Amino acid sequence: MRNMRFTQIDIHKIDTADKRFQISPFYSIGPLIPSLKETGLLNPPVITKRENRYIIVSGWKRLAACQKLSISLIPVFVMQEQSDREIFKIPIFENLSIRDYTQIEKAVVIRKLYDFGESPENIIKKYMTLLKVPPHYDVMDAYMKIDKLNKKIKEIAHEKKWSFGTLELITEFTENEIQALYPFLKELSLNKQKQLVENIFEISKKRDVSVKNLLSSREYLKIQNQENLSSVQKAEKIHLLLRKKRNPTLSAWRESLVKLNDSLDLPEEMTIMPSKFFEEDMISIKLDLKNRDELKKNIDKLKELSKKEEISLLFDPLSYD
Amino acid sequence: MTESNNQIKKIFVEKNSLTYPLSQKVLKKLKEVPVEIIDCEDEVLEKYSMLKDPIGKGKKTLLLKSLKGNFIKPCPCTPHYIGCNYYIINTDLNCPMDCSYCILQHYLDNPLLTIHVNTHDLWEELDKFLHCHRQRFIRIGTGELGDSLALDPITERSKELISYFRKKTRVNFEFKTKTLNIDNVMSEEPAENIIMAWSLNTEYIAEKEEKGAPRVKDRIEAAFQVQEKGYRVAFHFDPLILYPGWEQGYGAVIDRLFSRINPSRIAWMSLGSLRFPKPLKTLIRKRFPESKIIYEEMIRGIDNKLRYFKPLRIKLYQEAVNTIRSYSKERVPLYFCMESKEVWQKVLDKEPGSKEEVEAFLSLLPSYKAANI
Repeated sequence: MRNMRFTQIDIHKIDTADKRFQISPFYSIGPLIPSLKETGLLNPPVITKRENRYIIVSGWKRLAACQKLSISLIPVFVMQEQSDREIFKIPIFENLSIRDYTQIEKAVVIRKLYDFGESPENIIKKYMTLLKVPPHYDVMDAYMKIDKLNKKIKEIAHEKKWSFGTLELITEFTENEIQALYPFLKELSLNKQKQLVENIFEISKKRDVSVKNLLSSREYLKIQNQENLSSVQKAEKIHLLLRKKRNPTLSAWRESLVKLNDSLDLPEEMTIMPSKFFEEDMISIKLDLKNRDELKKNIDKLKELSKKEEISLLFDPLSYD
Repeated sequence: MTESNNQIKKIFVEKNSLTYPLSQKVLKKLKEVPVEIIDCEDEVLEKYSMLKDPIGKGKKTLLLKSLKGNFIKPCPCTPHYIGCNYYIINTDLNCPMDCSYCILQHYLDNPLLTIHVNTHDLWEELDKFLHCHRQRFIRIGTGELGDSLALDPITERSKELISYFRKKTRVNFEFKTKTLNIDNVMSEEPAENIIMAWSLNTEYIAEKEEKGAPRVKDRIEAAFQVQEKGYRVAFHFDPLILYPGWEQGYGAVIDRLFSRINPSRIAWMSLGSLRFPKPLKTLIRKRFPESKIIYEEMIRGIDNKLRYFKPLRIKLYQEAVNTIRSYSKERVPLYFCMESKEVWQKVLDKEPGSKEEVEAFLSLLPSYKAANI
């Protein structure tokens, strides 16, 4: 293999503190352990020399798993000394050939390429296309900012596979704001994390209030201080409150519809649904039926329903006002 | 020359378009601006895509090229909402003004101010198109992918368009602009089927969101002048934008409009509320960090675009329509751009079944209407 030699090396001679070529700071070695136990290290890590030390080019997980299993002598490929920029291509392409990068990893790749002296033009034209991101300066700039986010938030984003849009938005928050949001974000599902970030950002922009001040206001503090709630419940409540604050009219309509549904005393098998976001003046009635008798019973129920005064409100949502 | 044309810092000309009369006219008018001859636009567009804020930089760069495809296209409108059967002529692309909400930021891949200089192809295409559609009325205009008059001081295209369309009596041709560039239009004899339209908003929105655009009162003044000259006029309140004080803002501009403009000479007025595809939201946030327009209550419509929640749209429209009607009763034809049947029904008490119905309602000339309705 060009510029590489194969050898065996004592694992302790490798300086794992030098992470210059590391792309993913967040990884799990769990799945590798049984494989190593069963078959040994089949795919040797790649290392290179810097100032008389060996440092890792690729194979962080494999090395960590060997350490865990106290394997001291391991097979490696040693790369001839070359510039950091040249060597960094190894982990980039090795990973690209087997999996997609998360947004956090893409940010690491872009920032490190830049730090290793790759020209912005080459990063944009060559590497960003390889990484399947739009080849634009502004996008490169955004990834550089994403890489500067704090480790805790990057870990959540990496694990939950946050979209570029959510990450880009969170780079607009200050470090203090991110710290304030972190306890809630870490408890929510991906979709709710995204909504929470968007909603709090947009409310704060619309009202010209900082995120910190927003979260210190009475309604939010009340939730945070409720001792009977778990951290997950608090995060859920904060998320719902923010959603309501962000879309007050839509929320009011939804609440009205729930009340109206309740007042109609519908059978369990019947659900009334408006069009998405009430955009069309149309409602759907969903029936869950097991047999013909249930169909007949529900047809009678629908006839009764059509005679009720309130039913007309469903067809004229404006009158909820 | 207008201020917006003074901002052009560089001109690219496609080699095969250099000798066209329009290229020569523009180069002569902008003789102080550096010119680079290029083989094809792609080489420039790629460079611009790698710049920081290519849209902003594109507004200072002029590209003279030949349009390879068609000049005339049906207005793309939006799926699932009612259109108006309008046709667009893509003479120029982009605009030197920098409105935060402008869809072109997202819609066009090319950020440069672009003039399609192969005018001879335009006339040929128009002849064929109008011949094919000779059985019907056509509403057509140039203000869709660029402002109709923003580059007119250097192209003088308006003169040729007026002279071409004045003979086409079954066509309503519309210039749509925010500018005050009416010198060329004023130098021509008006015709009943040439309509001068202005996009209007409140003075507040114009100041905050329409960078480089003239004040609204000045646009109304320009409309007054062309109306005095004998042209029919039109107005587009699009996008209507919610902000604290919008009721007074839109009320004031409509009051001013009717204090200067004779309603019987208004060909039509359109209303459309702020709407855009989601990626434009990020663009607005990044290019216009001070703008708050994207933080109002919006939902994803059936066309997948973000738009105000329907009750808010209806309130916005009702307020504007009531004020307009207080001045014009039924005389001014009003229509919605990209709205649902429900909104038409609730606000205008009309429910057009199709875009053809909207077109029929808007396209007939007053004289034709008088004789046939």
